Amino acid sequence: MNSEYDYLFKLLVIGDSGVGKSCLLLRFADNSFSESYISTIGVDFKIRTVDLDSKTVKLQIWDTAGQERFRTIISSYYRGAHGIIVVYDVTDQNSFNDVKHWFQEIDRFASEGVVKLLVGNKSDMTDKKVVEYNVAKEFADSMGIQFLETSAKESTNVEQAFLTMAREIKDKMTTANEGGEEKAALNLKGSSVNANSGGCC
Amino acid sequence: MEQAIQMPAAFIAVKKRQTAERQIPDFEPVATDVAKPAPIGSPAIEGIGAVQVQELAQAFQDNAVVGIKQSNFISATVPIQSPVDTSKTTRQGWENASIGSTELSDKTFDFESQPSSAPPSEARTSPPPANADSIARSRDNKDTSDYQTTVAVPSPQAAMSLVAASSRTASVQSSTWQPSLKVASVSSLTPSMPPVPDAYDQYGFRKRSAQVSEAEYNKWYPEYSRYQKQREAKWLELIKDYGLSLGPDGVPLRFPPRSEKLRRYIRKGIPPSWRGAAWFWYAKGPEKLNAHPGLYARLCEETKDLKNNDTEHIERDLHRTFPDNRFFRSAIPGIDSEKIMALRRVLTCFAIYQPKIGYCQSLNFIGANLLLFMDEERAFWMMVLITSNYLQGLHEVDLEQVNITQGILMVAVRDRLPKVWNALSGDQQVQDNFISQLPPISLCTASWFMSMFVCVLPIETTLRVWDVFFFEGPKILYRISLAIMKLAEPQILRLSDDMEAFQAVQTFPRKLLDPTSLFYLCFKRSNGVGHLSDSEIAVLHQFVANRRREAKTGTPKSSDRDEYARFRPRQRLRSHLRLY
Repeated sequence: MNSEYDYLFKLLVIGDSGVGKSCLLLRFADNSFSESYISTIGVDFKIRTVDLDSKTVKLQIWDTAGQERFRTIISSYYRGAHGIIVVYDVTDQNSFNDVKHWFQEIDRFASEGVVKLLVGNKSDMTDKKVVEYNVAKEFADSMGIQFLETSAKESTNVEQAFLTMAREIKDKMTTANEGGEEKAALNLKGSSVNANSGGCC
Repeated sequence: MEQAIQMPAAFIAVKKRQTAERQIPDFEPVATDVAKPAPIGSPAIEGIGAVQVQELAQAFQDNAVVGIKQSNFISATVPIQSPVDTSKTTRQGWENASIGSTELSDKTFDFESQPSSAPPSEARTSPPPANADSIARSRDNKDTSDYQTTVAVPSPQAAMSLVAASSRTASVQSSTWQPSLKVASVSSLTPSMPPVPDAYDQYGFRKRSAQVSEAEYNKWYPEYSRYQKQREAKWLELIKDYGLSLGPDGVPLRFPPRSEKLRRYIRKGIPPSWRGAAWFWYAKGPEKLNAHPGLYARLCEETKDLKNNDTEHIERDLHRTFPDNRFFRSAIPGIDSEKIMALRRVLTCFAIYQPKIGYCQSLNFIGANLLLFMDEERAFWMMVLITSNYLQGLHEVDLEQVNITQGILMVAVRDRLPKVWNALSGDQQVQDNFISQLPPISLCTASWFMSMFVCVLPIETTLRVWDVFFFEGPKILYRISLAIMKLAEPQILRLSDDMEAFQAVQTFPRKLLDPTSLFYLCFKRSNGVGHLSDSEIAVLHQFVANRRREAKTGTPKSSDRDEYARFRPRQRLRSHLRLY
């Protein structure tokens, strides 16, 4: 067990191209925002350690490329993720319509019990907003997942989004540990997590 | 003598390589694993005339050249071939070069910075008698003096010329493309241009990046600039040696035929203002362009109002390609720069022309980088050539070729950099099936290949990779990847967590401002990490592709690791035999 942290969680950020996944991550990991960012090809890895209920949690975050064709190469890594954040752009209806598709991908490729979170980014662009909060909230509720609107630019709710996710994973894990042996597979503590137990399917 | 006759063939081959300025085979898109004899051609500079170039030297002095050794010019005797012969010889050389298909042993090439490697062919010995005709031509040759101006330009002025190129085109307000014969060039200097802001480099990029400070850049550049000027002078001599002429913009109209000497020159960097033309030439762009006159213009017209999934993605990426480049950034908010409009057309036309690929993220970086060095019609054809001859299938919809290239790279890292491999490949499970289920780090290195290192390495280092890429083929991508990992090794090994190691691999190349150490490591003769030949890659390609197919279609009998352990000795033997 590594003494630097109590928990190690692997998070994936997915969603359509251009919804602001990299910006969210840049805000969360480096607390900065840049108008001049470049498209992500493949995956960008970021790390941030946070304190949660007096426990040190190390978050490994995978920022992924949004274009459809990258889904095939990235989806085989879903299985090792403890949490997946699906991002859409509140000013882009299509990106919200595609959210359903992203969740299907998660159901297909991720481990059972993976924590999911829906995030509507670019909430600062109120005059261009086309996806209403209530509509997205309703959808999230129907899926039984949490939902947040964020603005990477104005640093609204970004921290909360990642911390919400981390807390949920931690809670789930603690419950699982208390729940008995058969759920031991969900013990996500430590660095030797089965990050790549997924097959090639 | 008798001993010499009985010398093994391999030794004789090495001798010949050392003594002859031999032509080397063309880069073959479809690599084979069967070694064919390489054509050992005579130098393509028969019947050349020679001209004293004191005038040239004088011209340099007049232009107050800084940092170029005058002795290079004053004492040099540059043979000049008559223009009539030029075309013939060049053409012949080109065709000859296409015949061979063998990868020459990389061990025979060395980085010139190692003194022992300087080949005798570089020494000028008894040039053919001067040809009065060519001397006269040379004296009257405006192109030559234009070029001298170009060479003499310190880098900020070179950047000014880019502004010139940009502002010329900026006057065209419409979004339609106008065919132009002129290749956009870094060199065409217009004196009335405003000075280049200090924050930007000669290619229009902001000097400062997330990983490199402006101070670091300013510390590195002056010396590298001197190096570049020395290389430019060498290139100028080379061009003259082959009797090739320069166009009105100071860029050669043709480039020398393939030879070992040329390969060395290219590995040390093509002059910035010649890059576009040289890449285009060695990628066989002229043939493609001439075979399809007007096609690009027609495509532009046809796709003018096109709206589909590809164009939607293109739109999203246009401003996320070179946001820190002043030629791509909008001068007026809301109005696209000329380069952005050109990139939009090039990517859209490409998506229509290559429907199996369409638009794939990462092509934006390739297209944009091309547009810094050539006009959009040429950039379009270069993209076609890159995706069909150099990186076949890499950007196609299923991206399986990406997985295969990464499988090959992982094998190479495993063999050549075992410590790095252990740090990056994580646990046993990953190592067991490292080909069918690639280690996560491959998601990062995949982008190195797909975007050909654009926005991965700092610009000058990227351009040096591109110089070699178009001449030698895609193996440079593997070699540079290995060299990066080798350079990053100490840092990677310090980190206990594999995720931190990924981050190190991801960040490290962005700091490689100076190409020198990377290229030295890549090409040096002994203990170089990058000695991966086309034929080895071809064999590995087959192995990895089969392995992945098997894993997909059925239950593999054994792990990738065991399978590779069986395969590797055979492959080793093969590549060993290839040397002889």
